[in-house]
Amino acid sequence: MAKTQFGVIGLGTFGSNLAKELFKRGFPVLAIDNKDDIVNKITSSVTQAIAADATDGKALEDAGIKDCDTVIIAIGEDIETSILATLVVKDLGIKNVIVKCISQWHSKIAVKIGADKVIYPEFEMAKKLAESMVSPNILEQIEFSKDFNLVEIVAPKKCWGKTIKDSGVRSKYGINIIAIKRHIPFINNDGQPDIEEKTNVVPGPEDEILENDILVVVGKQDQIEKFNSK
Amino acid sequence: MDKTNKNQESKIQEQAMFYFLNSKFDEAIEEFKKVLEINPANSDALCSLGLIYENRKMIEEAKKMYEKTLIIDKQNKVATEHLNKLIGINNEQD
Repeated sequence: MAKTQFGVIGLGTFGSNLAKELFKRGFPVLAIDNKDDIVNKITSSVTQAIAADATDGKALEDAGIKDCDTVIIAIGEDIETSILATLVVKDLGIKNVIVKCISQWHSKIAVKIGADKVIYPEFEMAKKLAESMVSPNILEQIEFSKDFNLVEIVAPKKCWGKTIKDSGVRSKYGINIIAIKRHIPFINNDGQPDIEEKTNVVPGPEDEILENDILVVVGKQDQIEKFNSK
Repeated sequence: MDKTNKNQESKIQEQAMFYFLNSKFDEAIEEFKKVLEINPANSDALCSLGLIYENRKMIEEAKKMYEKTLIIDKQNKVATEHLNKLIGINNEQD
């Protein structure tokens, strides 16, 4: 099966880093911006970088946008250009168009004209930051559904030295540990102290939970909170 | 620093490192603090405290320790890498 080909339109901080990350992960990436200097900067970090007007259908077609399976419109600040670019790429028949939005109105219009997905990086980051400040023991949180979450937490003291089975994480709290991240101190080649992280993915019931472990758990929000409490 | 103090510093540091390498972080913190009382410029003790604090998600304390390490030892790779990570600096970014 051929690899998904991505197109990224708008190479600001978000767009350029997204394009580079996708390319680094082995996907073909076509990066487009209307400014030559920005395009020149990213040339060596993506499959192809082209200077073109994102609202010019012919220019995008010539750039090869039709070969992309997914196009991300990463023009944040200029809503008009973002909307027009969305319209143009949808008209060109791109199946999956993701639009970076800066407001609710922006996202509503984007969806109306055919965007398959809208994202708000700033809103999502703010939400994450707020969560990390309110619950310092919760390091990372992904919402699966209204009730279920995947959460990274510092192993509660009550579990230290116990196996997963004995900790009652499943029987008592109804949640599952899907990974244990352990921090292991060592002396590096330069003779300096350091700490490395080792991850045990899908640990067994006999695996032990130690002090300083980070647990990746799946469960209902209230159950996780109960497990995480003292 | 006289020879007695130097010997004492090495001895306590050895004990601190033993605790650190065995993940006995509470004990390691106590010993590293004693090392710093004798020699506040001991970069290994400062950096190790940074690592322990980072591990415990005491981010501000960890940052302070890495910064102090880098004042004494500008080339300290461990302190540089961990401090950059905590601040959110990605060297691959523009």
